[in-house]
Amino acid sequence: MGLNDLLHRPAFSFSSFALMAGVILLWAMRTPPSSLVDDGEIPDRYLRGLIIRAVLGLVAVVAGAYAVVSDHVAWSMPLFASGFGLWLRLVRSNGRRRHESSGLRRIVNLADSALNASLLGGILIVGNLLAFKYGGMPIDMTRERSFSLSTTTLKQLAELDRPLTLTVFHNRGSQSIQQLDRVNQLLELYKSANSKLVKVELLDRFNEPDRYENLTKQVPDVALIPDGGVVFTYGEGESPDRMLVRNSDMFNLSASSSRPVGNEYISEFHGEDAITSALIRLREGKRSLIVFTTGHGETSANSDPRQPGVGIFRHRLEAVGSKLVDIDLNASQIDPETKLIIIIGPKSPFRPVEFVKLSAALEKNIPLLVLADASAKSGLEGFLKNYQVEIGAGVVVDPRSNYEGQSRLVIAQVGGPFRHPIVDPISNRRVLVPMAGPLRLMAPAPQVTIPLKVETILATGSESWAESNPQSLPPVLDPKDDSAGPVFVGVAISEPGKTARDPVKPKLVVFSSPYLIDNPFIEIAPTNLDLVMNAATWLRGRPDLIGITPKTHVALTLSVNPGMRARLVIVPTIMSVVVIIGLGVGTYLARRV
Amino acid sequence: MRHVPTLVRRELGAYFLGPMAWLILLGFQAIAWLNFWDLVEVLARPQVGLSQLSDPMVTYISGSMPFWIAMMVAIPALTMRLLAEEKRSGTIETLLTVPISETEVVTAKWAAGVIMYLVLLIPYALYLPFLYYQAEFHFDLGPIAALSIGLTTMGMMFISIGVFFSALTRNQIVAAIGTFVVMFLMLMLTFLGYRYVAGRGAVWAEALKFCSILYQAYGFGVGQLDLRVLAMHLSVAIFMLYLAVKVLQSREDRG
Repeated sequence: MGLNDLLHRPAFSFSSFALMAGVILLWAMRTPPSSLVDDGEIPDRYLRGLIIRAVLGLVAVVAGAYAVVSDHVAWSMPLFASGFGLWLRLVRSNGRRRHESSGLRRIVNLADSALNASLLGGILIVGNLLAFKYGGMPIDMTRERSFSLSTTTLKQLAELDRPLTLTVFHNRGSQSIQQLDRVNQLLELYKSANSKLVKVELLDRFNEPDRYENLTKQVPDVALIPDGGVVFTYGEGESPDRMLVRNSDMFNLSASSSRPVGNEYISEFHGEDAITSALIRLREGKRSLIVFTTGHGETSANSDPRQPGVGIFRHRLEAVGSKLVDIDLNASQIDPETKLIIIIGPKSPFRPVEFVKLSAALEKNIPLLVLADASAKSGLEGFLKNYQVEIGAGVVVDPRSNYEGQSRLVIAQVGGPFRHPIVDPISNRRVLVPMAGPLRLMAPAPQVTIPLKVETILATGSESWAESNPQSLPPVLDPKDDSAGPVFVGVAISEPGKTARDPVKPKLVVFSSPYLIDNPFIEIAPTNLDLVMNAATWLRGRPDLIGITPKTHVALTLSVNPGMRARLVIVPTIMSVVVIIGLGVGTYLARRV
Repeated sequence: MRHVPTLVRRELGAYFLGPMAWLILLGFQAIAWLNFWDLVEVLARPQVGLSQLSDPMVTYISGSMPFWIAMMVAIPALTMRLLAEEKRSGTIETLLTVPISETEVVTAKWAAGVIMYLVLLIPYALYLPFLYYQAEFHFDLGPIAALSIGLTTMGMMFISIGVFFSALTRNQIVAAIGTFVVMFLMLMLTFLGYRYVAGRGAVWAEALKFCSILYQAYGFGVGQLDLRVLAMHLSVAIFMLYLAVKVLQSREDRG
């Protein structure tokens, strides 16, 4: 190590400063010779020795504090011990004699004060360190739990093994600035959860063009994003893993996700879901393959929020690290690496060979998510019976709990009596179930040794029913032909483990509405998307990745007339001013009397 | 510590029997009125912010510059005379000739200062029930609780700094200036310093932000109760009171 290196080491700088401070202190504390002569009995040399000891004690304690700050706790112990030892000995051996000399008294008192102050400071610092260690995350006192992270996120952050830098870049539009605030608030929580490894950086693309250009070289997609986003850099060195999350993945800009209801403005924020999903994806480093079937009039991949299609759902799957592939089962084989097969709203029948392929995939533990169209004869009805689910006739209607008086757009509450990993995170929220058919659970076939575990995960309300005559308007419950509610519209099927301790293998989830995640209905009921995303995640055997519930924020508007607003401001003010003046004058008069 | 309640009553009497406390209270009332007026106007605008979490308490108190300026004026004014005046008039000698320790004197002065500080916040609290019940604006009570706790510990810290400076000198103006300067550093310079260094990646930017009173108040205002911040406030308060006691005790040595 050269001299230059030594000079640039912080410890060297600190020692030099400490030494200089010690010399200055020594000079400042020196006892004037005149006082020593007056005191007579205490020799000058003895007093100077005490001053040197007091100063050395101070230097040792400060050096110990520095050692603690620089993570050299073991080194701090002898330094603290020598510092406190010097002071303690000075006070003990000279305490009784301190009245013999004013100089001695000053030195003893100073050493005593320094000792006590250091001990008190030490206790307070330990208290603060404990607060940092055990009170790291601020207590969230908001009604909406806006500043709390899910256990999934906390677990992911706790398991980080490399530094994670989150670079937030933004535009200057008012919307972008608002989004920036919210994203920053969220990322601060990530940092609080693991302050050692998580770092948050802000990048203003207009003020810092060089940094921005550098970022676009590392992640070219950044240049294509108009509003803003977060770049993840996981690891250090030449080629760390990088990933991008767009603001549009975190903020659902649709009308329904931010909607005024009376004097409330309700907005939803998917930031935690998007960022944690990206983090998981980054850590796992592999995209899971999801297959969408085609060739039977399945719902299109259109992503226009106003048009029919499942583009929003597909985009969300991609955002959480899935690779989507469309295949025609009639012409192609299912890749053995496939993690999930999704069938949405087929209208024309599947061929027998396709059912064979689907059955083989299920045998190989490739699960299946079906959004069936009860009104179409796709052949899935027979196929699903093999898995103890039957799609019944008719359409589910609810004259009471529906969307804008349309009885076939039934609103159902998630959870209730049904507990399942798919619905538990979004329990008590409402979903819109458009034009659904009734699902019935069937008994297992007699030859089956280990029956499948079939669980209802979603049902409509008790006032709904399965209307056997879809033409009747308004629908009327016919006790003979119609099945009274609650009507099952979502079912999860899994294969139990061989023993009670073995985990279940998710096999199949069936929803009886093909429009559950149709773009316009997601716009009306965003929870629909969360429900189906949770189902997809559960089927992939990753309950730890079950979608994180979006944070709902309700901004209130003060809806009172201007007169009331004026009264609201003036009345308490006048009351308060009168009370203050009255009490002040009263006190003055009382004192005068 | 058995003399502390008596001494606190004496100090509170000294506050309220003079015009100073009432005038400061009136001043705070005027600022609270302006802040509340501003809050009502802000809340009456349709709230269509995109997922932005800005609690009314941030607009009302945490982010209100008049509130903090009033604090920087009121706290030095409240604390400057606590010990400096006793020293100037010589009554500290009388006080300490009776069997009362320096610790009791300092604790009582500080407690009286804290009570007076909390009284100053009453005008701010006064408006909220009207907003909640009269205007039926059912705001979140969590951030109010967090802000109340945070402002209380913050006040304890500020008053202890004032007591310390008041113990250092017999000149009230010097004590007030000392307190004001420290408060200014904690309020403004930490905030501006953080804003300046944050973009430059300085390692101590986070420490600066943690010490910034404005950021702390913002956190409380949005409903985050950070125990680390409370621990810091209380630690500083205890340490400053200890120093104030030591300064008073050193008076004997010099005497």
